Amino acid sequence: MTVSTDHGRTEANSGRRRAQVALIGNPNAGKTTLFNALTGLRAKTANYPGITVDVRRGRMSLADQQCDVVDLPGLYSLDSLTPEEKLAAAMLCGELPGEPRPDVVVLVLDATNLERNLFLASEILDLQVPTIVALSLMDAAEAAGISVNVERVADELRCPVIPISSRSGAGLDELRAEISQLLGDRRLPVAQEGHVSCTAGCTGCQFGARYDWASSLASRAIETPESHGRRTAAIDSILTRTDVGLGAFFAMMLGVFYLIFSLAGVPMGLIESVFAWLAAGVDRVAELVLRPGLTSHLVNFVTAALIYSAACRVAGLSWNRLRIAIGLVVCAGVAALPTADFRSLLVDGVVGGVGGVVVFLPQICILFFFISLLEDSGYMARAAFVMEKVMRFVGLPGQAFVPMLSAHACAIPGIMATRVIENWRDRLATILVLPLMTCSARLPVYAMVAALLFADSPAAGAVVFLGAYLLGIGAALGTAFCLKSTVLRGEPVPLVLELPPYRLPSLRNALTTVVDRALVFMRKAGTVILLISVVLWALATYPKLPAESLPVAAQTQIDDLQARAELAAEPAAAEELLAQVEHLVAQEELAYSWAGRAGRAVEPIFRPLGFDWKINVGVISSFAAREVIVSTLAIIYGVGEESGEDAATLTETLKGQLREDGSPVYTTATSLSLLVFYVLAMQCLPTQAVTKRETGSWNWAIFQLVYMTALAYLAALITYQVVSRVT
Amino acid sequence: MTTTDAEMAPLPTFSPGTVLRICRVDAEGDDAVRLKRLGLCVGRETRLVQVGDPLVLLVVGCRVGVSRPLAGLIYVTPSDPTDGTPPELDVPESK
Repeated sequence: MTVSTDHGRTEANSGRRRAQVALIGNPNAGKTTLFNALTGLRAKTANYPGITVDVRRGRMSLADQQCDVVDLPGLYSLDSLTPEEKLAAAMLCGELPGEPRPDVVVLVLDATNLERNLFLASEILDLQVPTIVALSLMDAAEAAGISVNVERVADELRCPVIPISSRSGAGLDELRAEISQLLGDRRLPVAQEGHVSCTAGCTGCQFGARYDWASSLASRAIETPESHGRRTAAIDSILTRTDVGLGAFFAMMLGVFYLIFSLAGVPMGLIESVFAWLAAGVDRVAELVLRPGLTSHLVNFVTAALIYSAACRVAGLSWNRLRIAIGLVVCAGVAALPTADFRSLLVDGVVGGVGGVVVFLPQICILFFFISLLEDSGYMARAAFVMEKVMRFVGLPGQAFVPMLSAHACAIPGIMATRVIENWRDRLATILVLPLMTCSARLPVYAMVAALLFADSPAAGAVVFLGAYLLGIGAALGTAFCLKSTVLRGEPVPLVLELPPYRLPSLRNALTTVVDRALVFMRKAGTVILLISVVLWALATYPKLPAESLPVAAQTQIDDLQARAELAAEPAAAEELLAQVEHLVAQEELAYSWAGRAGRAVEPIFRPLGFDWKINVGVISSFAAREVIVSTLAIIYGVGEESGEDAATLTETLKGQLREDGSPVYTTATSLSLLVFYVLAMQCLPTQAVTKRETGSWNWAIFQLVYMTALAYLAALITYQVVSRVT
Repeated sequence: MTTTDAEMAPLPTFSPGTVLRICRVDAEGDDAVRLKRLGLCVGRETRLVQVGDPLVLLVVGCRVGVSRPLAGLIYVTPSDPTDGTPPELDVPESK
């Protein structure tokens, strides 16, 4: 992805560079809330070339100009350890290549926690960049009875100090006015005394001197009541206790997941209906518009070109010669397709592919909504605290659990969330095992297997789900343990974590996060899945089945059904019979295609797992999207794709399937083996692409694919062999 | 400061509620930076809030969780309010 080198900072008309304002502050200081309040929805996540750190940039309107605002990652000090902190420090010091120093720095200090925040303040003021201090969370300070003598703070810091309450909007206008003024006169903060003298000493001395200064200023400018912090202490006495804390954590997680699945049902159903309607609509339009002839090929070409450019646009790819060349080849290929195939491509490949991605948005959005609320409230730090011991047992830091939580919606945002993990080895280990966690796409497969095994007992079905989730989590932790004991050996970073005071979370922040994550998911997953859906459509459609190649048995059946249809008394019965004919034809066509042949070719490999060639076709198709197996099996078993929706029909059909020797295909052993395979297998190309991006090389992505496939194969093999002997 | 080496002890050996003054931090490299930038450096006062692994400390007005092995590298003495040192860290109760 190429971003214009100045991030679009030059004004289109005047060529004058827009002013750059950077927001800096401690984590949890209310920086992001302030950023959202200043920029509204005009913010997006940007990337610096060569660095996998995403930073939010937005536009702010001042009285006389527009300026760019950057929300830098939270810092405790300019001594930086993580890539995020290094980026923030580098940008402030003007050490980022191609990136100028910010024109104004807005130093966000938490009014409820001023003493700690002043440490960073002393370092930032020493940088001699025009600085404004925004005293955030003033409303929370007032509510807690903390009084801050703003004039005294301003006197001491010798730079403008603006009290802010982002929630109510108080102070924002003054802040904007002050920024505007500072951009004009470029006043530098006056050099601070008292701690600058200690520059030549050891680091400890520097730290100590700054803290002494911070304490001294805090004691003179702030009055904190006795009762301050009691509420946080009281809640923590439960939530950070070893035993109760862990229990509370699991209860919280169960609650969140329950909410996700219960709330997501309605929007997911809605999305499925919309896409079904869209597919029918597109089919109808195509039927009317496309007629064999030159014009139809032209229409094919134009439609393909539009879809291709739209996909490139969504993925954030710019046009270069290679992409244009690929586009022309693809569109030419599509243009050459016969009408019926093009219709099928549009409806099954494109609309079906996009719909298959969008349907998971509700679960992903709801999960990130709750994660944001939990983070904002201060609970996430406690969760990392409580999980520290469990995680350290497998060699990972406690913070690794947040990405693992995200991975239960989709591994892609989970992998991106691993950026909070400081140590490179720990981060890599987490990225490599994350896709083992059960993501939303696996759920339709679990549902299918649960119905196969326990159609009559929802309780037993729930056990299947729980077992699958636990298997995924267990496999992830176990693999992390192995990796950290061998290839990625090294002590995990010990926990040193601030436990911020509990606060009411911000809905606005949560919504902004949700929109951001949803867009990331659509861009990263959506475009790749669309591509694979189209490829798999091609594999499942070609080569086409010539009429004379239809197997004799199938032909006889079709003839029989057609004859009965003609003799049928009622039109409904005739339609039903003709539908069966269609299903049979579809079944044979799939068997004849490349996908079908591949399914047969790998039969010897998967036979020890209890799979037959039809299941293999389903597994192969799952490399586009895991849940596709359900509809693929529906086609290959001749019940038609629509029955994929109707669990009862598909389940009955599957149960009735017999092997060549007369034994049933879907025994308990085969069903469980299939389940285990899907829990553990890496069947998601978009995840691989993100792994590559975050780890910097395809080697780790390939390693991930290989080890997960091997693990899935072995586990399914053992499951089938053991269970088939026992049942 | 009149403490001698003999009076110092690792932080986790104290009981909750004690106010302690940090005399020595044996951590190195990145670990040292992590501790110091959250206020756990020589000369600072800290209150031990909760023992265990990790443990919870109150320092520079904030609650901080520190893993026990790392906390064991911090040597402290009980902070005596009568030794004349001004109580800079005037945090009334845990925050």
